[in-house]
Amino acid sequence: MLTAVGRQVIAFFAYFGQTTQLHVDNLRGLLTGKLEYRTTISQMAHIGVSSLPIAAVTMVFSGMVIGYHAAIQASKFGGGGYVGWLVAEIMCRELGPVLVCFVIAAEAGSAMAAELGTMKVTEQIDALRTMATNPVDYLVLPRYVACLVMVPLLVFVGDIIGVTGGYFMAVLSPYISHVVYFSSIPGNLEAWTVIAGILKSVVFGLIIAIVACHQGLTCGQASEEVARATTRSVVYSIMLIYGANLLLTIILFPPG
Amino acid sequence: MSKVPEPIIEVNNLWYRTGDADILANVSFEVQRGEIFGVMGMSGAGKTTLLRLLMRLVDPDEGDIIIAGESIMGLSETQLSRIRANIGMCFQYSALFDSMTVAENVAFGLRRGSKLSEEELRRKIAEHLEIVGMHDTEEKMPSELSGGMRKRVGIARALILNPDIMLYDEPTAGLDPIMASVIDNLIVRLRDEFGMTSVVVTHEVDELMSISDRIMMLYQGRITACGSPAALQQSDNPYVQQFVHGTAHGPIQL
Repeated sequence: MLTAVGRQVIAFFAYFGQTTQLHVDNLRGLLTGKLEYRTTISQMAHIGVSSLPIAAVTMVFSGMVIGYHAAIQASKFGGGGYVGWLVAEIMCRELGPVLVCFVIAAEAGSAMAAELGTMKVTEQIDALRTMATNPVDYLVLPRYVACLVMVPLLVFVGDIIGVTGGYFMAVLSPYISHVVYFSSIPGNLEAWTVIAGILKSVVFGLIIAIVACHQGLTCGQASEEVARATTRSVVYSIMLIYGANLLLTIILFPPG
Repeated sequence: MSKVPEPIIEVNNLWYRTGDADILANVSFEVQRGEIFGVMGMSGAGKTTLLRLLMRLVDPDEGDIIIAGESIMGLSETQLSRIRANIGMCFQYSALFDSMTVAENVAFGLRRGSKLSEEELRRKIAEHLEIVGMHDTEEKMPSELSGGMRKRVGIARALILNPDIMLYDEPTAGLDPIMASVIDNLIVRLRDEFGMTSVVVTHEVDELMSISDRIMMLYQGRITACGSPAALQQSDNPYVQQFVHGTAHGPIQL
């Protein structure tokens, strides 16, 4: 029992060390001009194309549900004039960054883990090394930078889609007009709320890229290992996003 | 004055373990410059692991590997790139980049390591594909090729970098006899014309006997025998005899 717990603790620290090292290697590669621009742009396009449709569907429906509840509850207390702001606040602070990043982890992150895992199993990563090409610089850095750019962008678009989704349900209420829904946002929603949400998404984007690429690079040699690495990449990303979200919420929105 | 043989690869007391199993146990040998050095043994004898260790794609538990007079133990990945630039590797399953065309695969190392014009690159790609009998396949994707064709493209990809040493992992496995002969002739021609050193890992005994200058036999991670093809054929070592003659009965545990 104690041995098993000890093994898990060692495995946790080993994982933490390896992912931190991967992060440092990427920063070093970025600072020493190792970025492959063509691959990075292709990765950015891939993340955008694969994740935007599902992120949009997720955000529009989430926005509609929040808008529906907010409209009913706010109307009871005569607060119908604040529904637009309430939806925007919830979207920008929490739901936008978290839900969009879940979608990206499941869609683009899993694809990264599967692609690198397949390259590992078929010895393509070893082939890169034999041709004096560092796999981290060639494969991981473009995905890391692509996530760094695209995840905040997708979250920002997701926020707008979510607020718009809320509008469609909120205006069904007789107490909330089309104009009031949107006009309540500029005066009440602080710029910091939007910025903080975007900052969260930058961290979540790095988590998705590092976790997915690490799973791909450390995948075992058997083909079923690719499937395991892909699943682990999504599960670990989501768990780490939960943890990071709590931490970042406390740091970015301190009490008082 | 006769030329003194110069080892280009020296392996000293090499150990490689996974868990409790010794994949390679106290392996020591030398490969001379310009030599074709064959490594034979049963599946799981540690042959492929040995090639991966020579490239330091994996790290040994103990021992030293010296390439062209320089120990590769303790070198960083960046320092290893310099050593690896002089070693070509032909992988067992070819390891072609499946998102790239044949031409992009063959040109990969050259495009990154040299400043050749696109015209010169195209010429070199065509020249090396011709050598392995794969002309006019530049625009094909690896998924459109058979296993044997992929292997030949893999050899062209390694050869185009003009390495001093070539490591071949089962170079003719899965090839028809004619193409296997073409690859064998190519390995011999590279030695005769360019003085290239080759380490060929396979369990194809006839192939090794016909092309190798020396052959080493591995059994359960240990060197069972090492010598010229003629010496191995005449060896009274029962393990060598059983493997060379391919008999089911003998000391080799199946």
